[in-house]
Amino acid sequence: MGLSRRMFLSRGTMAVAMAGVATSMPLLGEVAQGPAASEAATTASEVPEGAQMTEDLVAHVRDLNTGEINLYIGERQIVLNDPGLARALFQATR
Amino acid sequence: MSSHREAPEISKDPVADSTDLYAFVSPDDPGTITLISNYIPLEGPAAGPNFYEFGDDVLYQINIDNNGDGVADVTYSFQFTTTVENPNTFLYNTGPIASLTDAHFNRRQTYSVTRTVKKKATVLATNLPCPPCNIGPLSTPNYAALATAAIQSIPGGRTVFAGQRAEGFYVDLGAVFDLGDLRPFENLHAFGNLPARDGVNATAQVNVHSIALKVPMSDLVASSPVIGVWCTASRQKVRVLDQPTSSTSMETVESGPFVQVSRLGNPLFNEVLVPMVQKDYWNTQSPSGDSQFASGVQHPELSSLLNILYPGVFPNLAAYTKSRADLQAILLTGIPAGVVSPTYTTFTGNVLADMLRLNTSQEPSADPNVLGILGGDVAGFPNGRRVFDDVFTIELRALAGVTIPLVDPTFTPDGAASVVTDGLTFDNYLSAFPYLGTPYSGYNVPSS
Repeated sequence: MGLSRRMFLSRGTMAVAMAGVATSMPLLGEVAQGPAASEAATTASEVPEGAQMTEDLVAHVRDLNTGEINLYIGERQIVLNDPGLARALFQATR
Repeated sequence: MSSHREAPEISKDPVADSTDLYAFVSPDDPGTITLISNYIPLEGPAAGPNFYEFGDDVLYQINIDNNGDGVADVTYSFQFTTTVENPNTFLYNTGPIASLTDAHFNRRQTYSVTRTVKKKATVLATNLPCPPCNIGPLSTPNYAALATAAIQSIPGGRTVFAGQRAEGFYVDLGAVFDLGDLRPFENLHAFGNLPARDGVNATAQVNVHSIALKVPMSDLVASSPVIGVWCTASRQKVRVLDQPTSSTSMETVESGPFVQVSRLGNPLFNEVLVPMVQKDYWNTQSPSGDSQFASGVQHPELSSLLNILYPGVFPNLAAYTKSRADLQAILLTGIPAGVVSPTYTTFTGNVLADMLRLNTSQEPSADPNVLGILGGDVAGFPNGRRVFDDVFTIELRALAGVTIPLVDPTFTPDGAASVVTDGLTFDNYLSAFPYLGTPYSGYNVPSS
């Protein structure tokens, strides 16, 4: 079997299902709202120890004051508003 | 390439640059509609060691609006995967390629086709093969057969092809963008003192990458026989060039939703009707929002330049200051019945949307005229677009005012408006799917 160029690219979900199977192709630019800042810490603790990411996760801090953080994973975008997390990420760069 | 390199940023991203869109009732199979979207402009045939290919990281789509709101009702999506059979060689092919599965065919592309209706996507086919690029008599000795083998029948009575073809759009690119020089008329140009001469087809021997799809009319048509079509290319929102972890793994991260970076409906729309600083923005927009660009159609800059570039040649056009309702009809709403004839219509409604409109009830012409509606051929552009339609001359004459009387009988077009042209003909086409000609080989172009 040949070496796929996709091995050079993201492990993000660009593959589609078998022919004839109905699936839901995301609309261009669909964006989901993430959990509120007060929920983020709580839900983070629910991630089990040793969990593995199957897709690359990219974070973009857009606004330090509002704490707007765009998360990109697979073909999805999730918007967080977490000023504490944004400040912590920014602090890590100083 | 009626929309090649037409915007500053997309001109730097040829793999995602949509260059032409064709839509017509298939002349050899009138119960079907053929849609062709082209990408990757100005492919020089001699291109090794890496030959042109679709982008694995680009989402290519053909969109159809069948209810006149400028929003896609049916979308066909195409995604590509490149594989390398022998990672230890630098060669695209290690011997003559006799078939699409020939062991000598080292770097291959396959693709999937998905049809989406009302957000519900159905995968029509996967792992469809692209033909190789046309290299030369030693590598691709029977290229036409290779390309034919890549024409695939897929479920639903549909036919698809994706791969290299000969460029079908013809234009004197070098002269036209040299201050609007039309060689047959350059003796009249304000800035030159050159004799009139024949036009030069700048795209005469270049190739392009085509996605061609032939589908039953029932795939596309709803209550109205008129559909609007446009093609797009999209990339994921985020790209991170990460540090390679091995010599064969570049670790480029592409993540997030797809973002539209290119689109094309009518030929030459973004090329000549949208200001430069808005062209890349235009590429990101849906046709349903095109009222924001209507002023460029209603008062086109190019029309105002014609009498400046050719002094005294277009006096009636120069004196005409009304909004160009004719161009708005041709490009943004379609032409209602009763304007050209009682039955001719490409009208989709009042939503201003740049879409290539096709009246699917119009049978193909038995004697096509490349000037389409201007040549009395109601089956040609702007009723859809066939591969051989001289869209440059048609649109130039429209911009020069020849279509104003359709909406304003008080206007008399200048004599030049009905003869102005870049003076070209072209005939490298096929009479059957995928209709665009066999691509030129690198061995033969440039010729010895």
